[in-house]
Amino acid sequence: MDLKGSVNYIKMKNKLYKEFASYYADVTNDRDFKGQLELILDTFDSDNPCRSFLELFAGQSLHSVEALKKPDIDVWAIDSSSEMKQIALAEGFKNPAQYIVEDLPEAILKCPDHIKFDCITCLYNGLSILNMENVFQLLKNCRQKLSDHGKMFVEMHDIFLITEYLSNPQIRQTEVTNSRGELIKYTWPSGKIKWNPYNYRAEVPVQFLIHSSHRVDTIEFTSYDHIYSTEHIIFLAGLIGFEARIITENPSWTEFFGNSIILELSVKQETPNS
Amino acid sequence: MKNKLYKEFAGYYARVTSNRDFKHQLELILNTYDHENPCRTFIELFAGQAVHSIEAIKKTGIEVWAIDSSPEMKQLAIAEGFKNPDQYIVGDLPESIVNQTSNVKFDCVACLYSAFSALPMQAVFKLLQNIKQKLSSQGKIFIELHDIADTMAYIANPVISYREVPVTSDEVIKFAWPSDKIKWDPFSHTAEVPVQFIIQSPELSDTIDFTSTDHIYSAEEIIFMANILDFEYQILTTNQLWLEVFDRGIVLELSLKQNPAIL
Repeated sequence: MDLKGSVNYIKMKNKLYKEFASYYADVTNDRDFKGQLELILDTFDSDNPCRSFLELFAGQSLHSVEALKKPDIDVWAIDSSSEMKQIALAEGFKNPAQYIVEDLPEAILKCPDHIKFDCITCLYNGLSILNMENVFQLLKNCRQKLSDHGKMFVEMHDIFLITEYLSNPQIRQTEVTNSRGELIKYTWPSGKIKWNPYNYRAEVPVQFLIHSSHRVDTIEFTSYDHIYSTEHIIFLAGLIGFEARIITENPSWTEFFGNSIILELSVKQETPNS
Repeated sequence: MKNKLYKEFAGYYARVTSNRDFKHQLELILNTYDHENPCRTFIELFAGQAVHSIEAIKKTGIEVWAIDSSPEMKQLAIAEGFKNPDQYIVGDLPESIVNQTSNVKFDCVACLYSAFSALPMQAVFKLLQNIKQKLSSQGKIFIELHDIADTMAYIANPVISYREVPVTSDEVIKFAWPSDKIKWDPFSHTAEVPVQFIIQSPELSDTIDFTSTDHIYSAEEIIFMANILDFEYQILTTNQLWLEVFDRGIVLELSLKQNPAIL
């Protein structure tokens, strides 16, 4: 067996979402998507349940696919990668017209005007790929597209855990075997994280080793992640008229979302005296 | 409690934070103003012993103000040369700049030594809003911030080192800042920094341990807020001279965006 293989050194994360989308999907489907979605849907009153659902930075859109299994939820998804959309369709995203392939924050306004969402999810630290101006614009666009009782669910990094990692970095390789029988060994981060003086954007080196029957391919790329704090997103959301709740303070949420922080944003209700 | 250091032990705090070239820092700031329209009103926020203000007082034609929450710091500032006690306001920010500076509009608002780190994010935004009300038409704000790459490099490779500063001929302070592992908050870029002062004289040795709670804002965060409030900005420490004089901190200059003329 020839294991010499080839080496692809990729400096664009985009390429991983496009050319190598299926490998990215293989290593990011390690969650209890069903359990996470149940928790989110359970936050809605039974008299006024979630009837319209939008997943941002959806990728293979496994939360959406779970939402489609529920009766009476109109499900939409947005991602910039057409390759990810193809994977999502193969996984069970039923209505291709409701998976929009465009860049955020603009893409959310491409949903038809008459549709307002009861639930918009931005999980898996999706905000970290946007700069601050675009995060703010995304929150504004989401507010415009939320229904009266609509809510956003935003997954954030735990800053304490990030600093703990930085103070004791360990390069760990994780192994996953995909449906094609390929063994994927990936390290994320695969080396020292770089920072710049002016913001909290991390340059994270990542390596994938893909073992197939006759070769090993190495893919190396850099993931650029803005590490926003919960405080910051609450601040930006407050400027737009959202109120915020950290729902992972409830242990049943930490059970399903691990070490992440989940923020629930809803539109501030005007009080009679305000 | 860090407060205790600013109050009960203010003199020691002043000693260990007077290790800058205040005169040169002030010169750089004042030189950003046109000769025809120099800085005539100056306020130092989170002033402490107000050494930048005292340097400004030495110039002719500048009305100098300062704000700090500590009356003990005010006393130190007066002893060091802050001449007009009425213009050193003891009050909390962000409120005091609008409540207690009468009708003065400032050409220069200095917020140095990473002083924003004492405030949570919403209060920083409020402070920028309040400063905007108090700026003259040619007014500028100078804000010193942490370098995030340096902060992260420290987290990755923390070194505890003690420095020594003489207080009197027979008293010395040894201090470590940080003196132990920094603890970060899960929800914000807020650091709880353990600090230790050891005050030694021939008769005794006192150890003071306290925690400094610091919100580490990035330049991008402050620029974003400033932009919402219609400020424009420059990062002055991209200039090597500023970088050297400010000891590798980041200094932002904010000024009000000029509205296009209405015809």
